[in-house]
This record gives sequence, C-alpha cells and structure tokens, in this order.
Amino acid sequence: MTNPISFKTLSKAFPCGLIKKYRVLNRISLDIQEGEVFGFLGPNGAGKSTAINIAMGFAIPDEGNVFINDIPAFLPRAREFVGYLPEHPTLYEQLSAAELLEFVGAASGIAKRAVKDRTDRLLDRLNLLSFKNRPVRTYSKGMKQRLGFAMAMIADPPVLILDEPMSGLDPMGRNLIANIILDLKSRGKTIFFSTHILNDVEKLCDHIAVIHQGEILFNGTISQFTATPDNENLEAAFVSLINTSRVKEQP
Amino acid sequence: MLNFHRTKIFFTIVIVFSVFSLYVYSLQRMNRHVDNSRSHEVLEASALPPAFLKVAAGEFKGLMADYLLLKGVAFLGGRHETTERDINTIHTLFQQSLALDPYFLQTCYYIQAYLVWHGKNYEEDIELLKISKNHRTWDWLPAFFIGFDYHYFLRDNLKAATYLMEASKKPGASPFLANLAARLSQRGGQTEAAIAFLKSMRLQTKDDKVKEQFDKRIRALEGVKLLEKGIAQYKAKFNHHPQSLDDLVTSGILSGLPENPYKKPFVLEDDGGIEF
Amino acid sequence: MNIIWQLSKITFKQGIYSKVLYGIVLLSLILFVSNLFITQLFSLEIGKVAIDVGFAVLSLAGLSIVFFMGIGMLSRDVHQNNIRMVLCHPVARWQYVAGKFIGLSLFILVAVAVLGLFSAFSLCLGTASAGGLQALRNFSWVMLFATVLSHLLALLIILAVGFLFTVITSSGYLAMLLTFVVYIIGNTLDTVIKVLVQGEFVQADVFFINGLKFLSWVFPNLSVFDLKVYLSYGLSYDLINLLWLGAYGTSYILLLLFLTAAILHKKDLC
Repeated sequence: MTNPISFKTLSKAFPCGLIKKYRVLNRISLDIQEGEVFGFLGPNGAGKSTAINIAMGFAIPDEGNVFINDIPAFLPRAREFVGYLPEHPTLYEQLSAAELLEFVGAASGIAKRAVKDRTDRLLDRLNLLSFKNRPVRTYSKGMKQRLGFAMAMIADPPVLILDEPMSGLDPMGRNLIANIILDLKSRGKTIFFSTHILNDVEKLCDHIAVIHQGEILFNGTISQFTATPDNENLEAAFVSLINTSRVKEQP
Repeated sequence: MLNFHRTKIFFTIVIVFSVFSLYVYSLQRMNRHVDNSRSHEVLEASALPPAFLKVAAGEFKGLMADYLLLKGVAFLGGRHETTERDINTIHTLFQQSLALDPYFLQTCYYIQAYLVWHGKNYEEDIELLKISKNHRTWDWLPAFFIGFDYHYFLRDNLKAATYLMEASKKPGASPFLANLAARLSQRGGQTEAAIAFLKSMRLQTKDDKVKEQFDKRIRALEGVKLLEKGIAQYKAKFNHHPQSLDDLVTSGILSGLPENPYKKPFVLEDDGGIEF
Repeated sequence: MNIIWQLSKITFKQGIYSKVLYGIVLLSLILFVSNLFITQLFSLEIGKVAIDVGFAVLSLAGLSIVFFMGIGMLSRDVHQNNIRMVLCHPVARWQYVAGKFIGLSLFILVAVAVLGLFSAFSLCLGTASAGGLQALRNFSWVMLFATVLSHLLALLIILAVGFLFTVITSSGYLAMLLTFVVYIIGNTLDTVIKVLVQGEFVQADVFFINGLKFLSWVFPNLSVFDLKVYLSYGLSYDLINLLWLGAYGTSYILLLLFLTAAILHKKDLC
C-alpha cells in the first residue's frame, strides 16, 4: 500500500562557511500511514522544518528522498496531493484574501466557480469572511495564520503538511485549528504536522516521531512513548528522551 | 493648566515665526551674494576628453549635450566682457556638447553666432562646425557657416567657395548661395569651375526666375573668362599686366569688350580680379 | 500555461497596488511639466530638447520601477521566502520564473505606456511654440512608438538581469547593485570599445581590446536600444534593423530566463 508521505534515509547538510557543512538531517526514515495525524516533535533546531521543506520541494536532499504518494517530493505533481501551512505564512500582502485564494485555487487546477464557493466556506469557517476583500497587510498575525490554513485547504488535498500550525494563535485560534484538524482527520485526511507544543500532540496525534539534532529518537504511538514508569506524561517523556540523547553524545 | 497650554502655544508660534523669518532673510542675503559674485563668476568645464564624456553620459548623451550648451550660453547671457580663458572654456563646452550630440543645430548656431566673432581660433571653430556639417547631411547651414568663415575671417575664397557650393546643393538652401559660391570662386581664379557649377545648378532648377538669374551670371562669367584669356595673352606679349581692360582692345588682342548682362562695364581691379 | 497566466496576473496586481507606482507617476508629472519650461531655454531644435527631457524622465522612472519595484518584489520572494506561497502548489520553478517575469513585464509595459503618453503630450506642448511636432524633421508617430518600444525592451533586459542576480545572490541590495553595474556596462561598453579601437585618446593593447569585445557578447549592448537620435533628427531606421533589434533583445531575455530557471531549480529555498 502506498504511504501518503514517506521519508527514505533522508540526509541534508547546509554550508557553514566556505568549506564546512552543518548536518541538519542524518538518514531519517519515516512512513506516515493514510488517515493518520502524525506529530513530528523536536526541540528548536532539531531539523523539523528542514524535513518539511524537503517534503515540500523547497530544498534538495543530499541523500535519500521524500515521497508523496510515491512521487518524489521535488516534482511539482507531488504537490497536487498536498496542502501546506508554513510556520510563518508568507503572503503577498498587497492582495486580499479573496485574491490570494483565487490564485491558489487556480494554481491547484480548481475551476473558478468552485474556488469562489470554497473560498467563502473556508473563510467563514476560519472567521475571516468579513475581511476577505481587505489587503492582507491589515491582518493580525493570527488572521494571517488562519488565512494560511485556508490556502492549504482550498484544494481539499488528501495530505496536509503543517509546520507549527498553532504558532502565533491565541487560545481561541488554537482551539479553532485543533477542531479543524480533528474534522479533517474524521474525513480521512492524512495530516503531518510539526510542533513543540506537547498539549496539542496529546489531543490530536495518533502517531509521533521525535527528532533531535537530525536523528529520529522515537517513532511510535503516544502510549508507547509514555509507557515507562518514569514518563507519566508526554512532556516528561520528551524531556527525558532529549536529555538522554544529549548525555550519550558527550564524550 | 489652561494657562500653561496657552503659553506653550504662544511660544511655539514665536519659535516657528522666528525660524521662518530667519529663513526668508538668509535666503535674500544668499541671493544677493550670488548676484554680486556673478560678475566674478568663473566658468568651469570638465577636462575630460569628449570621448570619455560619451562613455560617462550613457543613455543621457542628448540631455547632457543640452546641459553643456546651456551652461556655456547661460554664462554668456548679458555678459559684456569675456577673457581668453572664458572663450577657451566655452569652446570646450561646445566641443563636448557636439561630441555628445553632433546633430544638435543650436550648438553649431552658437559657435557661429558667438565663438568665431569673439575668439581668434577660427580654424578650431571651423573644425567644430565641420562636425555638424558631417552629421547634418541634410542641412545647408553648417556648410554655409564654414564658407562664410573662410571668406570673412580667413580670406580664403577658394575654400569658402567649396563650402558654399556644398551648402547650395542641400535641400532648402537659398538659391543665392550658388551665385555667391560662383562669385567667390571667380575671385579665386576658378572662373571655369564657377561657370560649370552654375550650369549644373541651372539644370537642376525648376524655377524660371532663378534660371534667369543663373543665365545672367553665366553670361557675365563667360565675359570674365574671355577677359582673363585676353589678360594672359597681353601679359605674354608685353611682359606686364594691362592698366585697364581697354588696353586689351587697343592692343588688338580683343576686338571689343564683352557685354555685361548686369548693364555696367567690367572693371579690372588692382589684385587682377575682374569686377562685374 | 494557466498557472503562468495566474501568476502573471497576481504579480501585475501587486505592481498596481504598490505605492511605488504612484510616486513615480507623480514624479513624472512634475518633470514633464518642467519640460515645458526647459524647452523655453532653447531657441532652435526645441523638439529635440523636449525629446531628450521626456525620454530622460521615461528612462529614470522606468529604471526606478525595475530596480525598486521589480527587483524588490523578486527579492522578497526569493530571499524572504514568499516564493513558497507559490511553490507549495503544483508549480514548477521554471513556471514561477516565467509567470513572475511576464507579470512584471506587463506592469512595466503599462508604466512605460503611461510615461510614453506623458512624454508625447509634453513633446506636443513643448514644441507648440515652434510649430508643433511637424516642425521636427521627418517626425513620425511610428518612430516615436518604436523609440518607446525599444526603450521598453531595454528595461525588460535589465529586469531579466535583475531576476538572474536575485536568484544568484542572497540579498536584494547585492542584486540591485550588480544589476546597476550591468546597466552601466551595457550603456558604455560599445562606446569604450570604439574609443579604444580609434586609439585617439588611449592606446590599449590588442589583448585588452579583444577581451572587451568578448565581454560585449556577454553583457547586453543597451546603447543600441537608444533610438532618440533617430527620432529627434528624423534619421531613417530600417524596419529590418528594427526587427533584428527586437530579436536581439528578446533572445537575450530568453537566454537570461533559461539561466535563471536553471539556477533556481538547484537552489535551496530555505
């Protein structure tokens, strides 16, 4: 069976000066099953965003690859199946939400009429309908995040890749997004999201992977992660795992 | 509280008014200073060769040519005395302007209107006018200016005639140019050339009145040619120039003096030329 | 093709919504009005002076749009990752390059058309006292249109250069600086070679001159797109040569865009 998202021995290093390179991902492999909500956890600088950038075709891996429905992620047609929300949505701020969604819908191959219907529905769901014709530069951070979500969902993709989806949202906004994720899950969507807010993970995820310094430290369910007696909750288990990994590295 | 607010407004108004007054007064003083120093103004021109100016100007050559001309002309405006240095600087400015835009007639015009009359560097000024002439191939004015300068300033009628002839062939040239060219040519001892030139101009002319003018001049020049031949024969026979044209008749070299179509007698001048 | 058109559309819209355009239009208005005063300083060839001023404004305004709006917008995309908003959809990187360039070109076309209209209007007003446009030797609206069009082509070449440098460098400032350098070289290299070949002012050895001639194949020769002299003095310009000029400009732009797409294809956008 085809996995919606597959990371296969993925490695990536970035230049650090003229000759040296800094390894961000070190042969990571993950398989995300269809209909799963997969949480990708890790402290800051662990390599989460880099892995997602490669999955979205923004960066080219040094070794291995990411596959979306068995299609190499760098190919444009892989993104026909994916909706993406970046950590900080970068938008053309002179344009309005309606104009951006019209563009995104057209870029995804959706008919103009269908785009209009979906635009209104999505913006209404995300409490942005009354702002749809205002330029995005007048939006607050939370509004931009929600608009980014709308842009990720406009094509109704089977797979959603969300990079820190709760970033910048107030509790109302976070609750709204969480409900949307659960709704998408109920509709059989595959959701892969990175976060370092563990409360959201517990609420939403079926499966998690923990990455630290470019290596996968854990890949399994939450119950497996918190199975040991010392790790009564997710946070304790996470901190313990990271600390253990740091101790192992020290000579 | 209210009193403090009013005091604040009052002082703000006083300060703004004071600064504004200072601005007006200082501006007037500066303008007076600039006007006073205008009489001692020294004109500067870049020492860069014109070719390098072309490089520096990029796509704004035309505009820079306009500016350089304006700079020279503005300096001249209303000025009664100019030094040799000023003339040289203006020459440089006009040269640079022509290098940037060799087609610009106004530069050519000012060279002729001002430079040649006030400076003594006629050859150099003529070289500038030649740039205009070589580019404005449709325009008779540059060649006419050059012809005039050779005649009036350098007393070289032969060269003057050459350029006036060239000017007369350009579209829109005044018909008198051809006649003028021929006259100068004749004065320079080129009567045959002048006759041939006038004949060819006559062939191209459609206007009957102008043709009539050409015919008259051709007849006059043919009379001159006959007289010049007679003078040469007289000199060969008697080893000196004749005192007057009548000597050619009395000595038997000519049977009679040719008729002048301009209804006045041909006159032998001191320099050996024949006036008609 | 649809995605390229969609991308062109929103790029064009971004340009229209941008406040930079209003500033440039206002500046053009002021300068074109001042053209009326500047032409009064000349008694002969007023038409030529009006053309010089009008096209100088068109050049400056056009370059401002290319540098500040065009390269600025591209830099925000590439250097600040706005590009991800586009590339997270099934859009190939070469489609992004094509769509962006076409959108910016359309915007520059509109801006140049507006500036060209102001220029023509200012030319009519400026020459009114000297007998109008017909007083200009062999004046032709076709030649005026061709001059504006060739100017536009030169601006699009600079835009393509700017696009390439945006993709190569990591900062908008550096991209603008390098593009400006190419602009200067493009306008002066031809003249420099002629001066050196003539040898009147500077003696340069053959190796150096040949090196410069080689560079003239790499850098765009922007001076050939300057047809102002032909318009000002009614000199003839062959239609065939005009077509070759268009072919030269278009092919150079296409080559630059190919190179840009190839480099962008290999670039990490994070």
